[in-house]
Amino acid sequence: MNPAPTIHRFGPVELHNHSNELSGLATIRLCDPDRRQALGSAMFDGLELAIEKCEALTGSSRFHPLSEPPPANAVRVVMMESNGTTFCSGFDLRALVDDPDPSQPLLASFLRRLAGCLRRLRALPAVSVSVVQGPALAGGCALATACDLTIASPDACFGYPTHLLGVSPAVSGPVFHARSNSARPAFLEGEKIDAATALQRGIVWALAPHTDQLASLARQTAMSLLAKGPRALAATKQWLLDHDDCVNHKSLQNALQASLSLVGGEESRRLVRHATSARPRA
Amino acid sequence: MSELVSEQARDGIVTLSLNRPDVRNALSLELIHSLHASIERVASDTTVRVLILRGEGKVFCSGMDLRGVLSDAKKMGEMLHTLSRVMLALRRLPFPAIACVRGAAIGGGCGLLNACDLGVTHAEAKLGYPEVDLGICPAVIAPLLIRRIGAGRARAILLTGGVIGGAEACQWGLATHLAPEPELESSALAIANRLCAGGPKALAATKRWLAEMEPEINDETMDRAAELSAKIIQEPEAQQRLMARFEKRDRGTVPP
Repeated sequence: MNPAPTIHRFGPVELHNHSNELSGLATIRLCDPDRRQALGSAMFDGLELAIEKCEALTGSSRFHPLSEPPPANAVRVVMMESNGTTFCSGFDLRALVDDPDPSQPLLASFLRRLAGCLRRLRALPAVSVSVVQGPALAGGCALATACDLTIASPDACFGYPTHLLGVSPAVSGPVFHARSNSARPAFLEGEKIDAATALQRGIVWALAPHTDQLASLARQTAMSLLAKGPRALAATKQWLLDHDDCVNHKSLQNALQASLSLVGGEESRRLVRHATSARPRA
Repeated sequence: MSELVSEQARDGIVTLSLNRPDVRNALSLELIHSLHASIERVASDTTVRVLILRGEGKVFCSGMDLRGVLSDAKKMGEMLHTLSRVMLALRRLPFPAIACVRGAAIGGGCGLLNACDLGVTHAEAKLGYPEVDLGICPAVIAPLLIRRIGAGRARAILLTGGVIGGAEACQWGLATHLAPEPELESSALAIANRLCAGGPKALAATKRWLAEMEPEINDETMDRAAELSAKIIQEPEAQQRLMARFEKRDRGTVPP
């Protein structure tokens, strides 16, 4: 039986550093189910600290994967999951409505912080896996697809209903486009993609037969990845990153600027207010 | 003609066959050199309209034959460098190339499939890149695979290793056509005949144009890829995993 992992708590985000047969695995867990894991200031604070801890555990600043092996005992697999029934519902709209400044500095901050999380998740020298149950929408979909692989339960769904908010999903465009060639219907129609369709389109790599089997699939995936050659795995990931022209520093920066260009406009302020007016406060 | 690669030509269709069926057409240094020479010769033959690449026996290609070169860094480097040149030569042919994959296309063998323009296989075939399982970095194939199936799927396939079935490989875009196993070769020939019906100048221009849209697949990138793979194979992780694999093969617990 595995001893309990070491848990680091960063507000609504936990980082589990596993041991024994799962040694080399770290899990980022979003823990705000009552707010459907919405990405607000506290969640971003937690995510950024958890990613920073992952960077330290993977030794990202201590080696270059193409020229040397990872440090001994480095984390080689990072999983991202959530408790509850929603992976992540996207930005915290209530916080955006409550932001009185018409120039929407909070929305701009959320977009910048999301872009930062996506860039840092991509750059981890470990293989990253998102474990998705329930909705992964907008910024939540971006977090899921920024990982190298996504595994999901049959109730998972993905999508970018952000045009309903007058917000461009461009910031997430590079990571989604790298995963699937279905970015146009997803971004323009705001289509919600069910798990089976996501599997067909390459958004999801593996689907658990039932929701209660997702944890078992996640464990199996982690064990399989941990059994690979650590040196080969880190080098292969870096080589793939170097040759992925969808996602690089410039494309991520351009995408962020495209999303920021709409912030503070009348359309965005009106539609965000409208979207939250029908929702009960969490 | 080399005994390691046999060649047949008929009505503008040249068929090159890997000819080491006793070792599931594993790619030895000599075989890779022979294949490279055959492709270069065929490329300059103005009567050729389509190339079909196949393997003698039950298996298209089981991957690199590393046993003889494992401890020889120079030969290993030459092997990977020449394989990268084979892949570039297939991409640069002025006519289409079709891989006809029976049984299995593993590692470098699956790389040959993806260097061809089209690939026909059957549902029971096993295809994939188990390199990371063996401590090897599949750098040579990565740029081609990203172009073939997209960066996300390439990431999933190369990082998770292992092999997948022919039907799934077709869904993922590794192969382009699926046929019943007994009809594999006739299907490849039917595709070749359809291609022969097209204008050769138009096909050559289209291939040139497609290559221009893949500027990252060039000599420099492929040289760096071969160097990276060769370097990682020389390190203890890969050496130990490969030796363990060879011992299992000698005991007969895994296929040759």
